[in-house]
Amino acid sequence: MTRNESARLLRRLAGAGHFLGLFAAYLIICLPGFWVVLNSFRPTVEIMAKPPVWIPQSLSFDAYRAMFGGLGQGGIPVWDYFRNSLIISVTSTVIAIAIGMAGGYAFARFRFRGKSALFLGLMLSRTVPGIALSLPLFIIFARVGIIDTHFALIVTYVALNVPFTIWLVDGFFRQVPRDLAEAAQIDGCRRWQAFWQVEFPLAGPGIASAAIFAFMTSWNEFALASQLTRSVDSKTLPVGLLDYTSEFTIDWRGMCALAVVMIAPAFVFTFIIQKRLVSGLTFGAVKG
Amino acid sequence: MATVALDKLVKRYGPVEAVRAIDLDIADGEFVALVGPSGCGKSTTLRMIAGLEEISSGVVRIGGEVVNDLPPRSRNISMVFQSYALYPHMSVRENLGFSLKIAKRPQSEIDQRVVEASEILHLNALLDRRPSQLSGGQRQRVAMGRAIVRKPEVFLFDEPLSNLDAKLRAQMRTEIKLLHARVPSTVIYVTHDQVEAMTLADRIVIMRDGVIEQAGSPDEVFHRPATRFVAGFIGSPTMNLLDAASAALRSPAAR
Repeated sequence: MTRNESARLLRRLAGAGHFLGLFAAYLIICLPGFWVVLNSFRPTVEIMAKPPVWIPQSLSFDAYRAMFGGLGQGGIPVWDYFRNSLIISVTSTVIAIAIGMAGGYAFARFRFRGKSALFLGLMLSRTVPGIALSLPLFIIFARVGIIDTHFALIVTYVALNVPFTIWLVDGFFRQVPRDLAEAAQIDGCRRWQAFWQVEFPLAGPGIASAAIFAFMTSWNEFALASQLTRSVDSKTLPVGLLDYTSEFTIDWRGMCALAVVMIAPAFVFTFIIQKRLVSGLTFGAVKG
Repeated sequence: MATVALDKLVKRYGPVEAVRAIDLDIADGEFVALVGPSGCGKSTTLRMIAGLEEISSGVVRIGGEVVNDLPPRSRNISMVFQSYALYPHMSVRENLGFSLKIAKRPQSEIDQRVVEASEILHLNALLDRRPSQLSGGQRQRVAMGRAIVRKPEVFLFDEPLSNLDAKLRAQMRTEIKLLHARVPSTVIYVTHDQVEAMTLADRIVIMRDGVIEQAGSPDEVFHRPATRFVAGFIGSPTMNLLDAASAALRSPAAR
């Protein structure tokens, strides 16, 4: 074998190994999701069987039919939960991004007293586990009388998301060279115009990904929502999952079906924004 | 075209004085180069003229009018940045026309002036590209085009050629000189490269530690340096400086 041939063989082997490794990693990541989808179509007996039934024997849409079938037939108020989730997630994301953009921009661009202390404080607030605050939050919200309202959850999620959003957005604005906003101001922009015309479009993909993070956090959050909600007026989808537990049994199939219903919109939302994320924004503002 | 006058201009960063009360009068249509080692305050001075840096004290006049508190957009200036600062999300055409779009000029006028500028700078073939698809020299040209499209009274250049290779730098130097001849205007040009300063400028201002060491024509600063610093800074190789006692001031060699 010539040296060229052996090098080529080695490269192909390495390529195949690479592929297999990635495949295994993806399998591990995707398997639980796949299992959830699969179980939503299988009867509970089969799900709970020991030893496990790997190959599904009977598949049906019964769980979905029951879920949307209304009360009394194993149905749960999916549409109410969905509406609550949507209102709360979208509103809190929009507010968190608005605050995060203003804050992130300030941290990236301005010098002010106590900047690093403030930034550290924001980051430290993330070290407190959210669940540790659930009791104080519950007591305060109960006193104010906003338990079981959209408002309570929106406020909570904004507070939860703002520090992280600021941190992300700050990083993205830092990547936009300062010169660009200055050039825009020389070209006749007010600061405000320079921001919207030049800096915002360039940090846009980053802000979009911050929005995805904020939305996902609110959409999936369970612990606090389960404390702060009571009825269909404000229960979100993750809390709705609890409807499938009763004193002695858990309807795993129904739960999996609701989980699928929950995942779908988040999936679509991420996909839409992801497309904007890689909108071919090629840098080249400054030398290089 | 306009005159530019600096009167006791000072920039302070906390206790540090980056620019110390400099005076400078620039005539209408003059090409002035600010040179000096890095950290001498030349860029800060330029940025104060542009309105990008707040003035600690003193006065900047453009065309006789005090502009201290005017924002950059109201000063009728253009600036070419060292990094070029092209807008990466816009095509070359949009980059060139951006200032006119912001000024809400009619589209026909924008197109016409963009074409004019791109002809001067040989950018016609590149108008629909993005900055990322251009070479360094082409980006530099776009940056200059963006500056001339506005037809400003004063051009400010902040080390515009320092990111180019030696050959391109020499070529762009010629182009800048030609440009100044074609588009008559007042130019303030910051550089640390004395060759650029000597070849381009009508007048050279040498700065050190926030003060002006000497201002004069290239010949003047080369042949009659006012201070030892200027003598050592200008010329390549630099002037030899020898310690000597003035025993015979009357001898012709010492005069």
